[in-house]
Amino acid sequence: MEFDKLRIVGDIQYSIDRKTVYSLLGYKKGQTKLPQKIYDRVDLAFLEAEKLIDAKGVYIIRRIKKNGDPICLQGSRTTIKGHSASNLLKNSFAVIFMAVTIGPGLENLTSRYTKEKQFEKTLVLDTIGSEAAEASANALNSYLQTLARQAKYTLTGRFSPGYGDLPLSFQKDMFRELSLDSLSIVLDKKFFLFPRKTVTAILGIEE
Amino acid sequence: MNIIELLKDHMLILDGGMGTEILKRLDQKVDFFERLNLENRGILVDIHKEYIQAGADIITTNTFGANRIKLANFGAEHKIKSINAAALDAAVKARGGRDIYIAGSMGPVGQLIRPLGRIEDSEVYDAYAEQAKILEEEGADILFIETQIDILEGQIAIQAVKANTSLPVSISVSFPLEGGLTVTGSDPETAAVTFSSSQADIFGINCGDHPEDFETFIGKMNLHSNKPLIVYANAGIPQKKDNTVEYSLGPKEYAGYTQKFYKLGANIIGGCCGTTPEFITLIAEQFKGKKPISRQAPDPSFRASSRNTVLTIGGSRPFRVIGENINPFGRKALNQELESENLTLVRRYARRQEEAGADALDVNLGKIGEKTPAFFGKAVRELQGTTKLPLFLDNLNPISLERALRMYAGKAVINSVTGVKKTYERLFPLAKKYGASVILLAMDERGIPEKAENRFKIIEKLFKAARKFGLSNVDLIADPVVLTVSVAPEGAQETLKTIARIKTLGIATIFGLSNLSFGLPQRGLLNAAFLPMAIQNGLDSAILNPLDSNLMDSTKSSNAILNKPHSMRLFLNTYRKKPEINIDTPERKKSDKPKNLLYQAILEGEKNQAAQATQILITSGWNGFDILEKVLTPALRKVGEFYENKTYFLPQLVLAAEAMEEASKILNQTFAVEKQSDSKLKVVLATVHGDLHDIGKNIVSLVMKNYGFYVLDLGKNVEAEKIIDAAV
Repeated sequence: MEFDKLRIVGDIQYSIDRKTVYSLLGYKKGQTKLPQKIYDRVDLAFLEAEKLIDAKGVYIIRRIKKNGDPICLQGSRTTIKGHSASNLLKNSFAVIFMAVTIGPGLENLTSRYTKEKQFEKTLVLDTIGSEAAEASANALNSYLQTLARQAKYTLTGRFSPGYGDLPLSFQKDMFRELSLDSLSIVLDKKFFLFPRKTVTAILGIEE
Repeated sequence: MNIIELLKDHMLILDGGMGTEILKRLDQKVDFFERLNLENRGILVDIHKEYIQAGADIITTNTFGANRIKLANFGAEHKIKSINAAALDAAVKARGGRDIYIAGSMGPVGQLIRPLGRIEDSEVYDAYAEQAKILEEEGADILFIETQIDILEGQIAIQAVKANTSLPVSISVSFPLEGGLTVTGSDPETAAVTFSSSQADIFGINCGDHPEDFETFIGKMNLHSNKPLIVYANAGIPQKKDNTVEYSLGPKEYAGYTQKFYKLGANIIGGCCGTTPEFITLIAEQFKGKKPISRQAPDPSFRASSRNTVLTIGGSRPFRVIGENINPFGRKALNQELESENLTLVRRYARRQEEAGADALDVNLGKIGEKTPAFFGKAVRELQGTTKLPLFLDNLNPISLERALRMYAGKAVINSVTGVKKTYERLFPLAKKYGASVILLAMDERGIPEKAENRFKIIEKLFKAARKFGLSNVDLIADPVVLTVSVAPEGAQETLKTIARIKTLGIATIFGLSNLSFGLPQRGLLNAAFLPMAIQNGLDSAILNPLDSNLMDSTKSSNAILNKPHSMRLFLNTYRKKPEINIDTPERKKSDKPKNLLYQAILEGEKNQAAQATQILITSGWNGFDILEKVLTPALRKVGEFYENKTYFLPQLVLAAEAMEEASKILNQTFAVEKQSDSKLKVVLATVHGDLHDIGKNIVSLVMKNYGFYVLDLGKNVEAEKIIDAAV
């Protein structure tokens, strides 16, 4: 595994779990009954979304100089604070910063639909977009896991800013570490990322 | 100078609308414009002169509808010669001694060819041939087959013109239907694949749609065609005004679009319906004498097409499957049917293979197809009405092949041409004549060579010969031949080696997979094992059984592993676990009562129906409050109940809310305004900042208005300050 080198992964082949999308939309197996035309609308939304989603990712691996709270890294001014992160990375010798985005296409469309008051379309596409971002993060995570396994390492679970006591303001550090502007991602003052369907996370590498 | 030679370095300016100019000059109606050729030729001379004055290098004769079939609509078919000759006479007079090209205009016959219409292809061929001969005799420099709305008619027209005259030919297609389609459903890419291989010298687009859309159409055409490009659009969209037709674009606006045509590589630019000499003046000012912008050569992959589907093979494209099942060999029932010239099973096989994911179909009708050219032709025509897939014509008899090629819409594939000189010297010209593609087979008079080296030599010889006959890489695909492994144990290895050698010629590859396992048990296992090996060695397509799911799974998986474009997405869409969704098919009692319609519209989230039903209730005397109380509120309550007990999921709830919103809008417009205007009871309503859900607010607003309150509705997502300001 290569350290301190920013790697961009273009065209991530995500696989949306349709079951999860239905479930997020309130579908309850055995209870909900969809008229054919509603099913067709959702099906069409999947096709529409897939045309617009352009899933890309980026990651960088940093060696940990010092575990605990805060965690200090080699070759980087980023420090990771808080109990959640120190607990996650307590056995790790390195940390992976990763991000995936599904690009602006889908969000441009949902904004248009919102303006046109087509809220049901917005809702379904937005849910598909969330699941696509999650699926893309899973795909990149699996790829990193394969790299780690080949080097006889194991990875911890994925942990994102806003979880536990890792503050949302840590997005600023993620943004810098991953040069997210090169994926046309924007960070606003409230630490929200745009496109909104962008997932950032850290993972520990353990021996 | 030959016009085609001239086009290499010079833009040429075409004239504008003929009909538009004729109408301007006529004070009475005329049943068909070509009548003027005989009765008022002076008008035509004037129009041509004006266009020449404006800067046109090419003027078009007034003969768009002067073919026998069209003229018969006006009882004028017997005057075909004089009508066409007179049009040429007018153009020649207007030209004088100037260096202007006269294009003989040839429009569609006005009827669709079988099986889409009733007219026979031979009648259409004769009509074009007859008109073309007259136009040539009377002095046309080039023939314009224009405004083609069916690619088959365009193909037949080109054949007729090329076989009966020595003039250069331009073919231009029109895409008037939504989404950029001809009347018979061909898109610009299909048209370009078809006509770039045809004998036409110039290919392009005219009439049909707003010039704004031409940019997209030309972009798509350029993916497949490198022929000199002709573009002449209408002056926008026509609109009837009193008794005349007006077009939406003026000369300046149209000239703006022509800049885009030029940048996309047009060699000839002019105008079609609605354009006038003023338009042509501005076009000539921009482009006359300019060098055309050279276009990028289309990628040289193999191509075929049907009337509405393009098939490309080779390069980085996914592996393609050509369905093998229309073949009586080993299929008793099909054999019997074909013997009695019945095509029911043939059609069924076509549909099944298309549904199974085949990209094209091989058509082999066995002995009967070879012995009876008319039957083979009929079968191909019927198949084109059954499947949208391109067809590979698998027939040893050149006469049968020609019969089918003559009536084939699109770019067919001849399966196949061997290294026997007599065969390829007969079949390559046939392919060239009809714009077809060809499979080159590694076989000659000595049979199929054992070794890859010798198989490759045959393919190389065929490749060179094909190029001499004017065919190019896009027309050629090579078959290294698969032999039965039970008889030729080394054969499969040699096939793989031959594929790799063929790749050095830059052409795509194909083979018939099933040969591999003839006479062996568990044939599917052998076929499924060999296919990925061949794909890995560079095989681009195979003729195989698409109903064999193992094979289809294997091709999808191979494409995904080899990172062929979109293949992983296709793989994921095909094989990911699909959620079990409970589809509700209730038997509802349909009711026409507006009250029930509105109730049902809310329940089903039908916005338009909700608006219509509300309107009907209002016109039939219902007041707003009753509609709200007796229909909308119970419907919404029911939706809520369905959502609570999970019969509905969230999108249905939102759709119901959207339908409710539509109904509320109409109620608000109709009832609330006059009641509230003088009210002293005032209320400010809004949903607070951060809340986009306004359905509840809208209902409250409506109810309060109905009770006579003055409601100031600020909408949704409103900042606190604004609400306070409004209230104070």
